[in-house]
Amino acid sequence: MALRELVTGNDACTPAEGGAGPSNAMASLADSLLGRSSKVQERLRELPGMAGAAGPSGLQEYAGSSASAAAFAAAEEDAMAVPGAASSSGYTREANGFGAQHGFAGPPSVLGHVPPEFAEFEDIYAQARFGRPPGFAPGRGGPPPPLTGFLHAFLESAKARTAFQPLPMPAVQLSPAEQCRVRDRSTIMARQLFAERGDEFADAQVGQLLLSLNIDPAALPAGAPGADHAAWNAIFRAGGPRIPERAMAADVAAGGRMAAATPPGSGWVDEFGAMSLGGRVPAAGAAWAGEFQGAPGTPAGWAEQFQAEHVPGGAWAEQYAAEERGPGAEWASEFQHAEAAAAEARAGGRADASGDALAQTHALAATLAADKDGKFANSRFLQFVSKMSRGEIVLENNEAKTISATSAQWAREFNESQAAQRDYAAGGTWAEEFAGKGGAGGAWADQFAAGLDGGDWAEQFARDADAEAAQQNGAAAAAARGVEVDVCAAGVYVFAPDNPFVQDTNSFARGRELFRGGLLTEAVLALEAEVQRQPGNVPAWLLLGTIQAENDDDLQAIAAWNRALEAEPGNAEVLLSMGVSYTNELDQGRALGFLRRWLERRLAQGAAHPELLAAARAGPIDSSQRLRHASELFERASAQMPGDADVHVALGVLRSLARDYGGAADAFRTALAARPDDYSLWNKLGATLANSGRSGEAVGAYQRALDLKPNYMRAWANMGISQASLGNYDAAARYYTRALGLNPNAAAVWGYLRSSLTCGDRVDLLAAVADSDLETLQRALPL
Amino acid sequence: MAKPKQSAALFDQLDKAIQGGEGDEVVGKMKGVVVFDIDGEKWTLDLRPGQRKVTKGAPEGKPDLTLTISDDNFVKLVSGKMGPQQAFLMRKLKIGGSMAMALKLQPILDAAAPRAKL
Repeated sequence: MALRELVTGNDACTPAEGGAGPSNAMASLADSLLGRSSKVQERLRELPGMAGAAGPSGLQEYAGSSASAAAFAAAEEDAMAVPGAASSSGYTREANGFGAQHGFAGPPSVLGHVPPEFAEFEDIYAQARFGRPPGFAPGRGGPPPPLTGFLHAFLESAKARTAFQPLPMPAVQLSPAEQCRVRDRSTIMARQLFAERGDEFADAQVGQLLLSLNIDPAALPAGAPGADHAAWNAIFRAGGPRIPERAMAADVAAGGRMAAATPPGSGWVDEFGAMSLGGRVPAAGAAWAGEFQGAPGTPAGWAEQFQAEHVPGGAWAEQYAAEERGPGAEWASEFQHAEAAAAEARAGGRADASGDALAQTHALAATLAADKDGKFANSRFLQFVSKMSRGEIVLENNEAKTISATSAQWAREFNESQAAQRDYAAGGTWAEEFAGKGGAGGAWADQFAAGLDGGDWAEQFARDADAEAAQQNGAAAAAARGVEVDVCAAGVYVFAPDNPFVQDTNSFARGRELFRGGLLTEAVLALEAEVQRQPGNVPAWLLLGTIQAENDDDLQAIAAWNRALEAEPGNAEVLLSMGVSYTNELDQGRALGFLRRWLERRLAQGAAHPELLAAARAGPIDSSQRLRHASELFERASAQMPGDADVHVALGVLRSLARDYGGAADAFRTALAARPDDYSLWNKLGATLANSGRSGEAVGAYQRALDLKPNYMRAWANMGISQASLGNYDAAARYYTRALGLNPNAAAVWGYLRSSLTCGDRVDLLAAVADSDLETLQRALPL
Repeated sequence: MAKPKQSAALFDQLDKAIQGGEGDEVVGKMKGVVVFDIDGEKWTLDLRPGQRKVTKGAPEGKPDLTLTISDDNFVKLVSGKMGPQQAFLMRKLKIGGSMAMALKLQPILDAAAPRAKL
């Protein structure tokens, strides 16, 4: 009794409204056992197959859909007016208390999004109850078909988030035993379905079901612990005011017993681990995962189930156990089966499991990396999981084994193909191709010149075959030809072979998730799968390019953005990003062109600065004036639009193109004042400082970027460059190694690493660099 | 020993740099053909106005300046661990041709250094 009071917070020492908060020792123990901390919840929610959105926990939502429902609502208000008393169960109250303190918007819901598994569940449920009657009701034969209508209506009400509407009673007589089972099973199900609304609502729904089935709960023997007979009885007596009784106490007691039955701490962790590894039976796994997610919201229902398995005793548990012997126990055994499968997968050694395990580890890694706490993102555990998700580590006989040979091979192949690609881009092939497109080279140039400008200009154009010049010469020509030109300029996007996400129909969402989680390499694969399936997906190309840029591969980034521009020529975000990447590639002409096109676009949207827009459209008087023209344009723009952070970013890029690094740093700082959490801006500031010989200051800026995004490969590499120019070759090598761990395909960074090892007198490690042996390097150069 | 030369990547960077915006500064200070002899492998920097490129191999005509240095030392030179004067005095860098041009080497080395990316 005392324990119960302690748990429920009804004892004198705990404030009535805070009894369920973290100050309550028992409650927080239950919290930790059930994993109900907001972070864990968030992670759970991010796992695949757990798409339930956190819905509002509004209890009044269902009111008014029927007269009786309105009566419940009224009754509920009464109940809620009693402080500390049980309008909802102790657990839901606790969850609400937690939410209020931590801004966690109510328990996760399975309602908003009813997974297809429910249909399966429904079938099992119907079968379990009516299909093959277990030993419990041996006398009866086939199912009474009309009952399925009830179940459907019941489930529909769950989906529609409304109160269950009683149906006209069919002429069916159920035996008391069957009535018992209907009651108990629907209680369990209702608590899963209405996790969000609290047990009270679930009980009310069950009451409605019982009423419409003409089952008098009072006439039946005691049911599952925690089920609210009083509510049922009340409803059965045609909607009298409901007086919740011992529901809460029973719930809490059940929870306490469950807590006792669970091995402290490790139990949940094991289960979580099992879940993340054990997707061997995907449908069952997902269903189970859904259940698991539902569980924290309805610990009572789950606890009952759990208790039934672990604590024999009690009428319901006995009944349950009895059923388990019969064929109707599929649902329960499925739960156990999933667990067993998970255990198998965990033990490892199952080849067929590893594929799914890989996908699950992806998700796990993404979830872990998404943690805002940098500690997690930087941890070895995450690195381990991340590696595992890339297939570099496999679990075999409970030992982690690293596969480096294949990945190294893969990296080499990728580098080779990339190098080939670059040669193609760098060589004159492009110019030829371009000329070929427009007809014979000279003829085309003439034609072009005749249509637009003087002959001298055409000669110049023909000489350097600079596509940028075309853009500079009149906005119309640029708009018409620009896209085609740029696509040729940077080459074709190179896809990674053997993409594990090819089969994933949800690869865009997965890619975004992985990106948010900081797993750039995996995110790239997911997005590549997406754009291979849907080449017109501009956001996917855009994000892919962004990630490639963050992975320090500007050429791939440009290639991806070109595809985005193909589909949507005026995308402002792409234009600005292209300007940045061409700046990095030291291609001043194209960088200027994209920045100017970006500004033009930006000005055209607002229509506030017509004279600026005209200047932007007009372009420079000739190509030698491009830089000056663009500089003047952007200086004016930033003066006229001081609040536009993007304009300052573009101005910063432009100034660093003009090698006015001090000015560029000022511009980036201005932009940072408006967007202090933009990690790419911190990196831009750092890079600008570093390129102007202020590497010491740059380190601080990079550190800010890395604090905001720990897996920001470009910032790690830049940090290495700064350390090297400060003479800290050992530190530089460590940063480069870290960067390569994030993107082993960065050929340039391998080169920098070799330089740093040479300068830092670590020639012993050069062989590892030559072999692309990251593992050895990471061991020798931990950060 | 067929160890891949590190200098190749640096010359790639240098090529990009002088063909991009930075070329103006480098070319403004240094007009002529410079040859780097890295462990027997020749790289030609053509910094004459209107040329501006880096090619592997010996130049067609006579270079204005020839710098002979080992791969490792070239890396140290570019990364700033070793200054050109110091390298020359330590006989790690051999200079043939215009000594006046050799004294203006630093901008070339800076252009070949890795660039932080925005």
